Amino acid sequence: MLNQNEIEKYSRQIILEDLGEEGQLKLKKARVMVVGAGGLGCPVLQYLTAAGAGNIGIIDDDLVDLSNLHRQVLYNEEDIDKPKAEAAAEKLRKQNSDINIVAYNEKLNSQNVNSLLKDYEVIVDCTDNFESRYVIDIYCDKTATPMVYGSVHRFQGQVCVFNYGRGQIIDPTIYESLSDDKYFESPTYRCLYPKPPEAGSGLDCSEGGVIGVLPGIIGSMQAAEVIKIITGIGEVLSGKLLCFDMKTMESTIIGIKRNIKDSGFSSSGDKELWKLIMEDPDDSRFSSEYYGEEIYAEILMNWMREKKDIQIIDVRENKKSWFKSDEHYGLDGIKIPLSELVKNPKSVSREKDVVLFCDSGNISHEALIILKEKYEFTNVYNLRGGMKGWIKMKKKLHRK
Amino acid sequence: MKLKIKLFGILADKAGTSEIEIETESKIDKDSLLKIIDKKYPAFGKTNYVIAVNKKITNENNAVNVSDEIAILPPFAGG
Repeated sequence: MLNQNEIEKYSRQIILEDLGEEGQLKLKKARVMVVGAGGLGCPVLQYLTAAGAGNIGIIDDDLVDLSNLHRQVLYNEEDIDKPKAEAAAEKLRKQNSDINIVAYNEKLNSQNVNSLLKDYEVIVDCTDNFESRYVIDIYCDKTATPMVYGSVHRFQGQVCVFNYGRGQIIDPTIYESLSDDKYFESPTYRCLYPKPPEAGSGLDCSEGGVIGVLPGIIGSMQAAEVIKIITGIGEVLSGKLLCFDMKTMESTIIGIKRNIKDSGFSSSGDKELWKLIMEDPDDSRFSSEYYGEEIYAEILMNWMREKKDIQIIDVRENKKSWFKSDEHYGLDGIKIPLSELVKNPKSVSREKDVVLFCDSGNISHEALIILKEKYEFTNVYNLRGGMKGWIKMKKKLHRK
Repeated sequence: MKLKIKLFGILADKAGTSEIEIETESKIDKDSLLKIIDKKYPAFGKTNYVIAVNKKITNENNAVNVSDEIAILPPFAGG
């Protein structure tokens, strides 16, 4: 039952015939997990909290950064360097004290996915990386849990609901009208993109830039889909990829069909992928195998602490660095911009282990491939996440 | 014939335009079209993009006509 305070608080939406008190009660009982509390996660969290979605989980392992504030509108200047999940939870509890909010200050991966997501009925994918997205997709497919996907690239965004309508769900009566065919038709993210893109595709680069309003629009659309799934209002964007372009304000809906037969794991490829990311994440296509000789900031720091004899090369072009004072974070190297390295790698050591870095790990990955393939180096590594990942690691250590 | 192809996301960045034109023979199937695109824009391949014909993602190797609305869509990564 709704109490008098709730009836008043949500009166402007309860008054909608499509929602009513019944719909509001469904929202109150709902358990929604939002993965990623960044540009998309902020509006999703704010609107779901305001709408009275009763139980909300937040997963994010990142800290609030000054460069986040133009789009991540839940945070303010006082939150800089605080964990996002906790800062978001604090704000949301003030926004609506009726909501049970749980913050998980960690990165979703194949090892914690089951324990983190098992208590939630709708998963909202607001992540900025393919590893988490594929983990969510496989989990949601396996457990028939709707996954409300959103993502942005510069001036464009995508929204879609995957793994919808195939199993346990808040209100099973919603699906009684679906025929069996339709029931199994609901596509997964892997029906659209079966494999993660190759490293060096430019897609793992976070320097594309974005105007804050765009994730605001796309995140709001995701929140709308969550409310529709929970209450049964309207037609959910299942099997339909909405592509939005802020420059023209045009939306295009592209149809997607399920091409993985049955639910869960009928194809051996799926089983393999799941096995890889469930059993040995460090050896999966998301890390060493997939990315080649990639090392994490933690590994490089250990090498430096052990005083391992390595050569560090900064392959960024001579542009002004994105970061205020790189030196302050203790990562410095000889400067050989990629354009020079490609022509002449004579200063690159063939004896020591060589670590390449740039701002986000993308340009240095290109450098790694060229050194390996064109010049036959076997002793080169790329710093995954680049200077950005390095600073993130340093800030986290500082907090501990 | 000239086929117009709409580019989304990072493909538009790589090509520097949101629409490209591909010169083909009068009859072409989807797979042959993809081969031409890959040859002309090798940088596209790594993104694992998918092709939509008349606003539907297509996996089958059907014929593509000049009147069809063709778009290619790479994954998006930003959150």
